Amino acid sequence: MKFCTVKQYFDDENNNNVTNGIATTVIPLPNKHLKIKANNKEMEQYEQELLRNVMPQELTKLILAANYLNFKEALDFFCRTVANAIQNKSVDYVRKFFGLESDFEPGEEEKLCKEFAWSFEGVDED
Amino acid sequence: MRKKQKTTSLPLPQPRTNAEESDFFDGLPDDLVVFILCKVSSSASSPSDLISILFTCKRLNRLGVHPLVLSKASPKALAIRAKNWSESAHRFLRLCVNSGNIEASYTLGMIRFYCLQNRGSGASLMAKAAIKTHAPALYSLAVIQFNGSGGSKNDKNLKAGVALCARAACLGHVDALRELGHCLQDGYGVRQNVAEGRRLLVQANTRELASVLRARSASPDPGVSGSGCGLLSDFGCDVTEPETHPVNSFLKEWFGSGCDGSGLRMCSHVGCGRPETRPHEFRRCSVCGAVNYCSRGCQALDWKLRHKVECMPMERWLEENNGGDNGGVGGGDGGGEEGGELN
Repeated sequence: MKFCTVKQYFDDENNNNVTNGIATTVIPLPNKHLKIKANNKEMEQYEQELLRNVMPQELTKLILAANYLNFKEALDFFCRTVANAIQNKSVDYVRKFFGLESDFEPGEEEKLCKEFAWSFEGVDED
Repeated sequence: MRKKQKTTSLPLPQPRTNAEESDFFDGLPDDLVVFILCKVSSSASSPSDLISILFTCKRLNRLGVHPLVLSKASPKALAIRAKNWSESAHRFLRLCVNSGNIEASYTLGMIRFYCLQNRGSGASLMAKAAIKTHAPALYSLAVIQFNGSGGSKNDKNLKAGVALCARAACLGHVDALRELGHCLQDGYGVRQNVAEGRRLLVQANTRELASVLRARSASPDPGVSGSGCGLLSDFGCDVTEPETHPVNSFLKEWFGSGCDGSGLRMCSHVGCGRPETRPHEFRRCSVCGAVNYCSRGCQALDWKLRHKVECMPMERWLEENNGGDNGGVGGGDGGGEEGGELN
């Protein structure tokens, strides 16, 4: 049963965790899954289209919604998307993409560079 | 996959007005970030995929080395280059081993056993992986038992080697299947059973073909033809060589640059990289005597890959030396699995 939490959701007064917009994106997913279950390529295309316009902030909300609704496939899919986005990219790209600030002291970052010098080869500058 | 608990009690941060300042990972609790990082590490194709994350900010630095993330690291994420080997690389591998990553156990075990010459620790790390049914670890331990590596000639334990090979073969490890097949055909460490040995050799070929075809269909590239796979070329199958484990490439690079010294030879099969641990440990091709192998499996593969064309019976000097010692005939038989004899 994919939506074990949905019943509780309707009973629950506390609806802060899932806003309307996000719910409309996440909830149709199981139906679509069932329809094109046999054909993997179509599913990939559908997923690509769905995510093309989604900004990282939206993705956070989608992940939290999927987690709250206990919807494993969607959670897996969104997290995989994030993982693919940061796969084999340079440090600066990852920071820019997610809006992260480096909170290291200057000395700390150098120490890290030395510690992991052995791993850096063949990174996309993207 | 872990069951996710509902985060109903987690208060979401207030939406910030300036979109650029909001941090993607800020809104996510630690366990979801770890979940994402697990996916990054399990699908990483090189160490830098995962390590770059550690440089971004303090929180990701802390979560990136979470045991769960490290335990899921793929073999390629641990594919350190031999020329980059350092204490810090060693430390990282140890961290992965402690988190329960059996690939790391196997990798560090091989490196410690062969490169750092720490036989005891290397073997025990490989055993740790072998206990968790890691097929390459079982096979590597079998090779060590067959050769008595790290000890003297009397430390060879053929029965133990066969037992380990059998367990790796049950898991479908192609090299182990071949090795076991040859052992059965020759009655080496196990009662001779030629038919059973033959069956295993055929099974090894089939598995190899299946895995190559699977890889090919996953990435259809008409340009990929390769120089011809080992034994399947006999059946007219011109398929690419199977991918070697990153640690074999590490060994090859480490010893290829001449770090061994002391005149110890390496296995002549290109995909292996294992060095001898004492003089004359490996056995050589009895026809030409120019190449030597750590195992029958390596010998069979190398025969088809390249040695078949190079191997030339040293007839002239056999005559001169009254050549009774170098018996055995080179050349493939009908099925094409045998190379020269090993002596």
